[in-house]
Amino acid sequence: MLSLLVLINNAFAIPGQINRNINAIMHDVDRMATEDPSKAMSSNPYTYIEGNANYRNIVNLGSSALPVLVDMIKNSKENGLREYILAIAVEEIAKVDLKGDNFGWSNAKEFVRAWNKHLKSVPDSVNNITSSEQSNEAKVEALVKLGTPAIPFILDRIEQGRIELAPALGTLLKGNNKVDFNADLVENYTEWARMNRTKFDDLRNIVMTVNN
Amino acid sequence: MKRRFVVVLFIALILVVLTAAAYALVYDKSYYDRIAWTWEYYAPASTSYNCLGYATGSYYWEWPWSGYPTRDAVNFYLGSRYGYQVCYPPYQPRIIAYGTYNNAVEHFSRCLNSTTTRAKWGQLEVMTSYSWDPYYPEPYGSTIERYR
Repeated sequence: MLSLLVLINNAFAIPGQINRNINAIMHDVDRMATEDPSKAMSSNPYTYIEGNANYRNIVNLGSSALPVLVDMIKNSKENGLREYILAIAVEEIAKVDLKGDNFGWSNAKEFVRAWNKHLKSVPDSVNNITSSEQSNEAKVEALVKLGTPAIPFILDRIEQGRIELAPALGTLLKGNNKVDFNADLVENYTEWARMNRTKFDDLRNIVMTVNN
Repeated sequence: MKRRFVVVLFIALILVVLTAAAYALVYDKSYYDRIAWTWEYYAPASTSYNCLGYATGSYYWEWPWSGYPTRDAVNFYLGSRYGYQVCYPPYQPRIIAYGTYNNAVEHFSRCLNSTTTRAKWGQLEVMTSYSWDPYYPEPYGSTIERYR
């Protein structure tokens, strides 16, 4: 019952909070022109969110905001600065860099395609990385690059006894508002993974929805 | 007769107001004078697209980098995505990249002919400039690279 209430609250509250904050960001963008002309003349979208509290509010919503943000970009008739800022927020929440070195995306609508492609690849990528012959450090580094959508699948492996992957959680869970994970303080990673796996059902659902 | 005159006058007044509104700049003229030494209003301010989106013709807010790109990064993007190549005189470029320091590219314009460029200024208006190098050192700087 409680989880149902949380679900209903998220369904209504999160879109409202995102809308309020992105509207405030766009208002700040207008105001910036008088306060700092050099920023107002910028085509670099990252200039507009530097030190912006409203942008931080969106990022602080965490993984529950991911599907809402992506839907907002997808359903928008525009492909402008507003949508681009929402895409940057998705990348920051999910701790991914889908642009990479080969221009994975250059505008917000392209980001949605890159995001869905990434989500589709996550389960297989976790499999391939964990079963590869590379060093544990290299495996952890590769898992971290997959971002927070990989967390539930990494937990699956840790639960199966692959505790050498735990350092990946240390990086991906840094600043997480659902769990406090300190690799040095956890005595039994397998047990920790078993106890906390349901807290990441939202991320698993995000990945599995795209994969079904 | 008098009534007809009043109606015509009223319509003329409306047209004048609408025209003025359509060409109104977001900021005072002096604001733009500090950016470039030659500029003329062409299209209204918008956050739907930026300078790169205008220069390439995508009309999106187009920015494939996570900050200001280097000249090499721009060469690679415009080449691999659109087939543009760096060009030198006597060839007339289609796109010009501008920057202020360390090869960091901050702005793009569309080159219309041997004397004219047109560019979207950040979130502000699209401006026509009667030079390939119309900008002051801040914020856009001078030509870093030309592409065709």
